[in-house]
Amino acid sequence: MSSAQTQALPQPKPGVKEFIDKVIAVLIPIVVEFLRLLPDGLVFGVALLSLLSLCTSYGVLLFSMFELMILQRLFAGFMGSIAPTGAGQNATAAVCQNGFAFPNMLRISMVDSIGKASTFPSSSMFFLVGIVTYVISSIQHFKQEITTLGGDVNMRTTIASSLSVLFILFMFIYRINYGCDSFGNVLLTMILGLVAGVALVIQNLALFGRNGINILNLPLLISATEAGKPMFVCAPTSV
Amino acid sequence: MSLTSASGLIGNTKEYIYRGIQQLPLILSLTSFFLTVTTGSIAHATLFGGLTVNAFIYAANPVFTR
Repeated sequence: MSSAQTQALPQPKPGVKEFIDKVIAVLIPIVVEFLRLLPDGLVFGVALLSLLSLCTSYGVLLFSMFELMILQRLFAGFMGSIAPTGAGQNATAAVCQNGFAFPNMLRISMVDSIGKASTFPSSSMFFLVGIVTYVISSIQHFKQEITTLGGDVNMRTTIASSLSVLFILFMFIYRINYGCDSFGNVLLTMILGLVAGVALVIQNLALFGRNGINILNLPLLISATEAGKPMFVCAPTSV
Repeated sequence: MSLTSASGLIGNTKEYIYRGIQQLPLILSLTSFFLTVTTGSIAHATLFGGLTVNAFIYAANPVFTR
């Protein structure tokens, strides 16, 4: 009965199966390289964007990235003196190593150099969760501008939050699946990163003002009455 | 800061920028991916779409990644 059912199932053509295998064989190393490069590539990409556009908010974002790395080092130093734990069983594997790799196996990673690798909190997860939280919470400060410009704040927030949660979940599964970090380490790191991201927005708001966290580069709305300037309204003509 | 650590810092920064520029298609692609995910911006999404095609051609070709 079962053998007859097996025979009845349509088998993929050998050509199609080979093609799918080839596509997967090409895709997986690229995606792994993409995820491995993500924290350091992001630092480089934002540095390049801020340099080319001379945009304050990207400069402040870059500054916050360095702050996150220093925070991770401080946490790791503190936790390491109490209980040096957190790395997964496969932490030294190539897929778990952040940064730019050279053909001679030399590796340069700013996230692991300024921060501290293979310890609690996980350097790459702390950095990514912190930055994602930073951007999402900074957008929340521009609800009025988005609404005035005709955008739907709720839809944008929902899309951004859903995509960010999916992205963090994907990174979580990736780090656990390849044995880069232990489960508890990643989970607690995510909570710490979340707190750090929100705290950095509050800090930058106080230091640089609203313009410093304006990631979307929206024109800021300032109330004329708050600025102490007279407000003129067009009167209806009598003609 | 000693002269040795200062030269080490400059050397590492130079190598970092050198490798970053070598892998620029991937870097730009992942930066736009990150901005798409976190801001929900369609402008970044289209940029990511275009750059991803470029990044895949780059990454699949061993001439560029050596």
